[in-house]
Amino acid sequence: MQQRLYLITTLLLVTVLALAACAPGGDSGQQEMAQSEEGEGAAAAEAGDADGGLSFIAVQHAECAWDSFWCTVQNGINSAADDLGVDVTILAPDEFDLDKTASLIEQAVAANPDGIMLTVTDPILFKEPIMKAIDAGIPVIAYNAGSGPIADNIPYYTYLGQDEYQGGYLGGLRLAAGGGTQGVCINQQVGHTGLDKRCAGFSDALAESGIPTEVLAIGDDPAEATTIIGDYYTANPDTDVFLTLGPNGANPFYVFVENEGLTADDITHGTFDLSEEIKANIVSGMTMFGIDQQPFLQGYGGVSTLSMIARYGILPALPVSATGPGFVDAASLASEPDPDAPVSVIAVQHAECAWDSFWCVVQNGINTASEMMGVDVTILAPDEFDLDKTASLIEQAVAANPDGIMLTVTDPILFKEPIMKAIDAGIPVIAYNAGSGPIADNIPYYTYLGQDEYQGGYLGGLRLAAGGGTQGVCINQQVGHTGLDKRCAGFVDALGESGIPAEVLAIGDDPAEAATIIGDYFTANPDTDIFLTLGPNGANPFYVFVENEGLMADDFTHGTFDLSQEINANIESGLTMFGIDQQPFLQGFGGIQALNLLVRHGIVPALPVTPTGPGFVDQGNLSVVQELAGEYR
Amino acid sequence: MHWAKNLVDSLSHRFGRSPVAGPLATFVVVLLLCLLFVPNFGSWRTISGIVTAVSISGFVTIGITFLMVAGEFDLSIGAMIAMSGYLFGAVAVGADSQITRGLGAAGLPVAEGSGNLALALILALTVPALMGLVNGLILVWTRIPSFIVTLGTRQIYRGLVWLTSGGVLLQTLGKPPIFNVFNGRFELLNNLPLFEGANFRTATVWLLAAAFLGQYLLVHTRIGNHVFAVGGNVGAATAQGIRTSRTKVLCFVFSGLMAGAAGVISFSQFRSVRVAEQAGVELTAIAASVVGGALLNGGYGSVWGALVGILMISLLRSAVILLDIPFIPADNFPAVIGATIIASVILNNYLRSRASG
Amino acid sequence: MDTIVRIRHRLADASELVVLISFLLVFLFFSIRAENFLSLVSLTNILTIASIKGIFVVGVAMLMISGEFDLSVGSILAVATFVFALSLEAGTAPLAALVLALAVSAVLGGINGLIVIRTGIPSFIATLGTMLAFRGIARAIGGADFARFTGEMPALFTGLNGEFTFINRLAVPAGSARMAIIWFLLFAVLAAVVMRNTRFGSWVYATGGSRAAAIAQGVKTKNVIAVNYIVTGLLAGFAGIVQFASRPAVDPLRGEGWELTAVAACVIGGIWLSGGYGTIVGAAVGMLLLQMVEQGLILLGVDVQLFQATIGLILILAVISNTYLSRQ
Repeated sequence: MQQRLYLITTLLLVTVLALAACAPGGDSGQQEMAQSEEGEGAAAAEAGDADGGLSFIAVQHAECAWDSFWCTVQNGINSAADDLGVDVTILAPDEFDLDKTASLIEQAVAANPDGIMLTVTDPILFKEPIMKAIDAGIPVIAYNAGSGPIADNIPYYTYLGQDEYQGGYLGGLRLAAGGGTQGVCINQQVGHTGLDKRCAGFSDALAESGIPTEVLAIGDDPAEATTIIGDYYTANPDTDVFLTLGPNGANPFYVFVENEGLTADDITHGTFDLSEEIKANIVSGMTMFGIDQQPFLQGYGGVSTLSMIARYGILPALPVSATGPGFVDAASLASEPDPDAPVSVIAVQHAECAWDSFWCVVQNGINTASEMMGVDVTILAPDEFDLDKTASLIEQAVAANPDGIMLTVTDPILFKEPIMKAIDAGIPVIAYNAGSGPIADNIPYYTYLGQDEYQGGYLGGLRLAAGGGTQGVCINQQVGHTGLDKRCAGFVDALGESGIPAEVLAIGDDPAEAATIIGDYFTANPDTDIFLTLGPNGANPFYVFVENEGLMADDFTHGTFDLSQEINANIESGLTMFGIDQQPFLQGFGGIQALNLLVRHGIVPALPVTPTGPGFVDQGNLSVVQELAGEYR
Repeated sequence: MHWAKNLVDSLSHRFGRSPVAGPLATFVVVLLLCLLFVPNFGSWRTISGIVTAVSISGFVTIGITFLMVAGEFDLSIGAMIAMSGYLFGAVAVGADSQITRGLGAAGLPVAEGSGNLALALILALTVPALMGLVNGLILVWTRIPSFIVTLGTRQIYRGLVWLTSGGVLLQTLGKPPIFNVFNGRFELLNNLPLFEGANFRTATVWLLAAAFLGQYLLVHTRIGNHVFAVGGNVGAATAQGIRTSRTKVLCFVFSGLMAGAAGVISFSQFRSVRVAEQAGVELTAIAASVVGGALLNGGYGSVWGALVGILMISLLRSAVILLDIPFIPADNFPAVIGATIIASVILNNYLRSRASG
Repeated sequence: MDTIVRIRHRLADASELVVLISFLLVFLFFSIRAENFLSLVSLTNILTIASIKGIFVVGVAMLMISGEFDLSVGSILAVATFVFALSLEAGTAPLAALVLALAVSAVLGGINGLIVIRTGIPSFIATLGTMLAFRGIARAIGGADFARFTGEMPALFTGLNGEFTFINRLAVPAGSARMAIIWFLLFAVLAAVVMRNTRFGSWVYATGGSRAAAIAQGVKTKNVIAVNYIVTGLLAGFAGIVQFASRPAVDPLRGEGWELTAVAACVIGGIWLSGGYGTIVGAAVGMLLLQMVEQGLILLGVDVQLFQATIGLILILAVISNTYLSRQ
């Protein structure tokens, strides 16, 4: 009897279920998320396709045939074209002729290439031809000569060249590291904006270590300059930190050193640029380093940046992308560039594609770059979020003795010891995605590729608060992850400025649980109307919560970090205001590229932080991104 | 105090024979307390939220209960759910995935862009059941304790999931209507005036169906009797002519099947699955079974009790969040589960000893 | 046939034999196949990383021989490390912070012991409960955030987990040998001697082997179990502190999942899940084996996800061979 009862109940339940399926109105809140067709034309123009062959034209005011500096630049262009599988034509006048160069730009536009890189030698003279290219929808970037789109008042994407202030500042930090009493910046051309910036950076860096500095103006005449330096030293015998701004300043300085009988133990000296004399002094130990603007990187980076734009729709994060300062010291002089050397890289990261879709894009960047450049890569990551395990993986990666390690500096204190092991072993280390740069992290790796997390949260918070609101919440799926905590801190601060209280809500990794936690939080705090999620793993349960509550886009504002197909669909429908894109593809791609340049060509990343974002994706520019989401964006 | 003792005595004598009585009584008391003292608790939103939150772990708990009654358990269930989620998700919608391409190349009727629901369901249910079968076979062939066998296969199966998925998480945008049947909003119920503000989902109906099926098998069939006998005393069971090995293997298969169902239900709602999906769910399920009255050494327990256990955990989670206790934020809730496990084992033992004494 | 049986009988007497042989075979395999495996940094990596976990594996092994489990070691480790870190941050003298953290670990271990011997709840369930509850304590006292030590490293840190620079500098890349190895060795040898040569040791075996018989012989099994829980708690806390002394930051997830690694090491090392059989040396070698596999697979360029699968496979194979040998 009872058996039959059970069977009947079960049957009944199944019937009810079938009815429920047919009931109208189920999931009315969710969109059928068909790929958007509109705006694809624009996307194609901007973004091209990932596999097609690309051809670029480089227009420059000088060339290898008559200026050896440009041989290095062109070498960079050709290496990049080779690595990335693109076609580059170099156009230059056969002698220095700016008018001819401007015409060459116009002729390049006529060829309708997929991108143009050029030297903005004179922004006023070149503006008209460059505008012609931009109006034709051809992506344009500047290299070697220029001041960036804002200063030049020409809306090209970015300028690749040396950051003069950073050069002086980072040089100053290196010189001050060994201590010192008094510093001097020897300037052969006071009033030249670039040289003055170098001295200003130097002074600021030394001031941080409490070392006073002065600027000493010398002329162009070497004999006179030597005397001026000697007299200055007599008046200020405590001076022991010297910076010269090029061969014309270094040459009289070396004469002065010889005259005074000074040795490397008495003073520290660094200089901008390189010459045979400077190189000899670096080898002998008299000079600590020469600051190189890395012409190879100007050529290589130009082609690489254009490929990113044309192939993947990835835009440069900053108006000026620094190629220098690159520091040349005794160690780097000893190593010969070897473009064909086999390179093996290990990437250690705190998360991976198997459990976080954000990382699929990063790994795609890593794999794409390694395939193009012929770099052998192994990706190591813990199988669930586990910082201690990640730290051990770094240690274990060192044992494999790779040519380079790229890693996430998720917590600088926890990771310091294993990273130092790699650095001490002479393995070049680059950080990506998580970190704050070698100076803030206090670990001497080369550079950090990623976005400023606090700024991302702060700028996102400002946008969300602009429409007003009562109460905000930052939904954090990984409390304790320094980067995510910073995003929440920025968000809370931004809302605080508008007088809106905000808190952090911790959710776990289980989506069913997370959706319930958000729902319960909302019940306890029904005034909450501003939501920030920190990635696809937070946005996914958030959307389920919205569906459960039957909330509409008018009831709240939502922003999120990162993009995924689901997030894009919700930006399109208006439920989500924006996704903050840190261009993860570029983090992975750029990491491999930086190590490739470092190991094969001796090119050092210019700045401690190489920004890849933040960039905001909203309804305005979604169509450009849509095509590429999940793979490149 | 004398009347209280008498009340406990009479209650425990009356209901004590059924393993579900003690946990159910505790659950009702806690529920009443929450209704009285927790702000915002007494609404259909919250109640339906508590029920919905167990829609995935509930299936696992039913499977684990079979194993625990038979004196075994399975730590590899999380990986089975992940496997099921991948197979179901990729095949049902024909997602751009290594799985779809691989199966298509093997001649099965599925391709990118054209899903195959029947195949998806078959794979999502049978593959985890086979994984359970392997666990069971290793157990009975080698006589290694199930803790060790499944600690090993727990790792191996995650590796399998990783290989199957290509190490990539799966997320699909397409949502065939069948997803709403498995785990969509239960509008028929939510729209009733009685259930103002409720968010019930169809997954709960499937869970109840699975529970009825489970309880039926466990209590009213010969196989069920064998499961109890094997868990209670293997020697005696063998002496009675029960094929203990076969019974245990069947329990593992059933538990795998339930994990498969959990994977289908989960993917239908979230349309995403990760390699590390549901890591740690096995411990929650063991905790729920224990809270629901099962004994670790076997021979005792019930499906309803286990469901009460998992509901108890879900109820406490909501209560804790609604109470907004400063040192127990949502991510510290597992601590409450820990305390609940110990408290309820002590309580259940007490009630059981009163009932038998 | 007879010889095989005789060999089996002889092997069965030494429960750690299977793990020793597997260790040597795996070592040989990686030495031949994995580039850089025989380098200083790789070998010291294995030793140092294994030693941190090895310290509490010693305790877990003693508990398992006495027939009990402790799933809460990872959580105790986290609590102790947080107590240590937070008291240092509050300006406590390093030695006082160490004593305080160890005292807390002992108390938490004692709570485990009390629950198990007083309520008769199976230790698997009891410590599953305390694992979650202690994790909650770690999260609560740490405010669900990191605790970090950023000041000048006190001398105590060198004693706890200083580098052996004279060894590490012998090669490039430098090795990573640290004091943790010495601590692991010390505790393993100490425990091995206690288990083999003292009355307490034989009580532990008796408690795990046949509890009724042990009680009949007058062994105070409850005391034995309580002592083992306290020792395990102490060792777990100490392991966390040792680790903190080289990487002075601790996050709320620290130690999650380590309880299962510890059980795996013990079981691979020949300890029976039901208790009464196995040795400390076996468990210690088991831990080293696990860590060696991980480092070796990284050097072979195998995907990390497959390490776990490999370790799972080794676990099952080791147990099958252990069972085969001992089932004479």
